[in-house]
Amino acid sequence: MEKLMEILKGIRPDVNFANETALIDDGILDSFDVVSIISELDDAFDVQIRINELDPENFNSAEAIWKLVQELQK
Amino acid sequence: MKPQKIETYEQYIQLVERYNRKGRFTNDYLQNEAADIIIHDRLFALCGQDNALMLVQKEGFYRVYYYINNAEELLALPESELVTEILFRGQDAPEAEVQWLEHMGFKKNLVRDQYFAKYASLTQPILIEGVKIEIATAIEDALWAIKLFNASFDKWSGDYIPEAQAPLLIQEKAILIAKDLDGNRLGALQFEMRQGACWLNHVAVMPEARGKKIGRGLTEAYIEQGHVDDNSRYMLWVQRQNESAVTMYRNKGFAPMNKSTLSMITI
Repeated sequence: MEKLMEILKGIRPDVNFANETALIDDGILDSFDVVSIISELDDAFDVQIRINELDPENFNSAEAIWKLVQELQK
Repeated sequence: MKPQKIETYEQYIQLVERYNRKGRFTNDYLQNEAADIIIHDRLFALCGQDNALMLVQKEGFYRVYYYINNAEELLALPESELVTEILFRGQDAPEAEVQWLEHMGFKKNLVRDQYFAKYASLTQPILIEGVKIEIATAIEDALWAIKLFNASFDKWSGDYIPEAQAPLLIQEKAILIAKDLDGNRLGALQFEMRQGACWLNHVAVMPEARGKKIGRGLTEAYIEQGHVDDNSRYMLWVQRQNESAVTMYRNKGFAPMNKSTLSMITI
């Protein structure tokens, strides 16, 4: 989780990822951010997310992203 | 090679699945937006063995999104004006993407950087004497501002505002106009609330009024328009080459977001 937070902070230094729970629903992350996150998750955790798996619920919070990473690593 | 029209969203997804391989370079951030573009018959694809281009039809040119898996494979471009943007983090755009696009016939155009600020981190406004800045309420002011914006930016960077939008911008109270005490227009700024932030979309100052802090005055008026509390967020893109604007935003308290674009064109 610490590594994920580092990645997220590197991509969007202005966002408090510890508190936000509607990153997609509130439009805080744009599509460039999402694609950047996907690319960095692939590099850091060796997980691949397909475009039609881009459910906003998976990206609304750091916790949700971490849960997705863990599921894809199974 | 003639681009093929994408007829359905499923077809688009299939192409993405085919070319979105591990280690690829892409600027395809269309995602769900693609469905709307396809409905309006504006999405085309140019496909090679390993590389592909998605072309979105605009007024008089195509905006290009790419998937590059093989630096050696070049695609024959259609004879239209084409523009693409490399989105990147860090100081410079990735050399491999720039080189492939240059081999394809694109040339570097502009670099833009994204900046953000929270209200609490911004410096106090200064008084600019002899200048009055107000929300535009007259359609003539909005039309004047649109003409000024459109004359100040290139049409390929997505900055172009159709004049038909003037009534909507008045209704949304989205344009600030700076005038001297005789009522002569000096500059304008257009902003909007989006993504939980107040975005500075356009700002331009008449050539003869430059160097008189009109841009700063407009920016400070925009900051007040978006102010709810100390956590109010502000976002903008600025051309890296526009050093006076970059200096003004930095001095005001804006910080770079580590998000930039390099536009490349075939014109």
